[in-house]
Amino acid sequence: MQATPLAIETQGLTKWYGQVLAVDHLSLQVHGGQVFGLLGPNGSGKTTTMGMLLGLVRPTSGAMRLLGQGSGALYREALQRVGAIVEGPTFFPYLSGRANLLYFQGISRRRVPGEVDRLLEVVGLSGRANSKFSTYSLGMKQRLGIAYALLGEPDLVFLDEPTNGLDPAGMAEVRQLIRDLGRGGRTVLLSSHLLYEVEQVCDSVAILSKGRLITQGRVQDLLRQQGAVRLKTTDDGKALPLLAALPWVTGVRSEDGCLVANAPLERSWEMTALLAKEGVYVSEMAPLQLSLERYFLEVTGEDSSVIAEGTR
Amino acid sequence: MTAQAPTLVRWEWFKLRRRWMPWVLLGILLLFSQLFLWANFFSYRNLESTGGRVFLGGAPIGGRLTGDAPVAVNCNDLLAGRTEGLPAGIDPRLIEGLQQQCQQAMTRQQERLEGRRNSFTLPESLSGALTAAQGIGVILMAILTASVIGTDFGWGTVRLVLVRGIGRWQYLAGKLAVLALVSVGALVVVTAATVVSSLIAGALVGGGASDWAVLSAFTDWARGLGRVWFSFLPYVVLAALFTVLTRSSAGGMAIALAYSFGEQIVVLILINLFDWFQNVADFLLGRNIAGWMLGEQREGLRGMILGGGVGLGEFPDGLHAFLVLGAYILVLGGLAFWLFQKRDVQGASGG
Repeated sequence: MQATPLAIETQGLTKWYGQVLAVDHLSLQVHGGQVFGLLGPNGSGKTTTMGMLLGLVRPTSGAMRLLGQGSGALYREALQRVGAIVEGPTFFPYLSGRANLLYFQGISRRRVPGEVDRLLEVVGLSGRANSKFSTYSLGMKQRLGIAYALLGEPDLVFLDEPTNGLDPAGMAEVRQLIRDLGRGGRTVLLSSHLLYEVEQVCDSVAILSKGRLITQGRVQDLLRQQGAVRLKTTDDGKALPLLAALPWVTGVRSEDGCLVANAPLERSWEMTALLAKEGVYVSEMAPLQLSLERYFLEVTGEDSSVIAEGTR
Repeated sequence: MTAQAPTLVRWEWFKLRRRWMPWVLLGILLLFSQLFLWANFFSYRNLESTGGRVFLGGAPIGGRLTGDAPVAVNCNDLLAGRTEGLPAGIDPRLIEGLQQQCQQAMTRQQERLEGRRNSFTLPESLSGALTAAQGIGVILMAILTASVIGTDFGWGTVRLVLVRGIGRWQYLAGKLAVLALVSVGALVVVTAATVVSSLIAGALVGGGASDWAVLSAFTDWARGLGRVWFSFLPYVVLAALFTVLTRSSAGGMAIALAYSFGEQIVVLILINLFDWFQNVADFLLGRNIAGWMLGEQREGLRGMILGGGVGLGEFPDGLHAFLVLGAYILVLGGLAFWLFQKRDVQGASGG
C-alpha cells in the first residue's frame, strides 16, 4: 500500500476565514487505490479541506497536490480525473436526474459513452431517471450525487456523507459500492459522521480537530496502537494505581467488575509481571479491541452526543 | 482552454432552454414590441374611420359652459353635417369653427395616414419594434443574467461545475456568451414576429407589395439589431457583477434594476439643479444607452426615449456613447471575472 503514489498530498495547508482559523497547517498524505476516511467533529475543517483540494476554496498558505499535480493548469487537468460530491447533493431542480447527469457529462472532458444510463442503473435510479430532481427524496438525491461523482470514471472520488438520508438497505448498498470502488484501484476520500461506517469501509483514516490533524494512518494500525487489555485481578483497588503509573499505559478504568487498561497488547506481559511483583495476581486477561468510535472520542476529546449528531 | 468554450455554451443552452424564465421573458419582450406596432395599427384605423377628432371643452354653448370634460367630435361626422354627438343647443358658429378646423386637418389627412401606416408596415415597423424591445429588453436581460448566474450559487451547482475541472473564467465566460447569443436570438424572434404582424396589419388595411421592400432594407435592420444588442451588454455585465458580488440572483436583479431606475431619477433631479451635472451625466450608463440608441436619428427617436427626454438635457452623441458603453462593458465585466476568480465558492444558499 505504501508503495502506491500519493493521490492527495498537502503540506502546511492553512485557511483563515477572517479571524477564524478553519484549517491549521494540515499535512495529509493519501495513497492511491484506497478508501480513505476523513473524520472530525463539527467545525474541524473537513469540508474546508475538501473545498481547498477541489479548488473551491483558496488556501491562505500551504501547498497541495492532487493526483501528483500542483497548482495551475495541471491541477485543473487533475481535477478532470476527480469526481466529488461535497456538502450534500445539489442539482438543477428543474432538470431530471438523467438531464442533470447528461449536462455534467457534457461539460466534462472525460466522457464515457452510455455511462449515464449505466450509472443510473448502478445507483438504482433508472425508474425515476426522467423525473425532476426537485421531486426526489433525500435518499434519491444522494444516489444521484454518487452517480454524478462517478461520471467520467474518475481516479479519485470525494464523497461527503454519502449515506445521509438513505434507508438501512440503501446504506448497505452504498457502502458496498464504496468498497468496490476502492477495490477497483480508485482512491476514495470519504467523509462520514458514521464512524462504524468508516471502520467498515475505509483502509486508512485521518482525524481532524479544530482544523488540525490529530492522527493519520491505517485503521487497524491506529486501533492496535490504542489497544486495550481487560484484566481481572485479585485486588483491583491496588492494581489500578500501579497500572496507571506505567508510562506506556494511557488510561485505566474500572468497567463491569474488571479493569480496562489502554496499552499496547505486546506489553501485556509486563503488566502481569509488575502486578505479581506487587502481590496482585491476574486471574483473567484478554485483549480488548477499541472501536473506531471510542478511539475517535479519545483522540478528539469529543463527547458521544456530538458524534451522534454528525461530524461535518 | 478556449476549445472548451463552445461545449460550455452548448450545455449552458441545454439547461437554459429547459427553464420557464427565458420563455416568459421572451413573451414579455414580444408583447411589448408588438404592442407598439398594433397600437399604431389601431390608431391608423381610428384616424381613417373618424377623420381625426376635434375637442370641444370649456367653450360657451348657448350662454353656458359644456362642463369640465371635453367632448370629442369626429371630423368625418362634422364634415358630413352630422352633429348628433354635440351637446344640444350649441352655438352654430362654434360648429362652423370646428368644421373649419377639420377641413384644415383633412388637407394633411393623407400624410398623417401615411405616417401611421408606415409605423406598422415594413420596413419602418422593424425599427419601431426594435426600439420598443430595447427599452424593456435591458431590464429583461438584467433579470435573466442575474437568474442564470445567481441560481447556480443558490442551488450550489456552481461547485459541481467547478470540481469537474472547468476554469472559473471559462465558466463565467460561457454563461455570458450564452446570454449574448440568447439576446441576439430574442431580437431575431422579435423581428420575425414584427414581419408577420406587419404583413397581417398591412393586409388588413389593404397593404401592397411594397411591404416586401424589407428585403432591400436588410442592412438597416441588421444595423438596428446590432445597435439594440450592444445596448443590452452593459446591463448584462452590470447584473453579472452584482450577482457574483452578492452570490444571489435576487441580489443581482435588485441592484441592477435599482441602479437603472435610480440613475434616471437622480439625473432628472440633479441635471435641473446644477448645470455642471450635465458633464457627469454624460458618463452615466443609462444616458449613454439613450444616446447610443438615438444615434443618427436623434430627433426622430427622441420621443421614444425616457418619456421624450423632457428636462433631461442633451444626450451624448453616438461615438461618445459607444466608447463609454464599451468602457462600462470592459470595466464591469473585468470586475465580475476578477471577483469570481478570487473568491471562495460556498455551498448552496437557497437564494
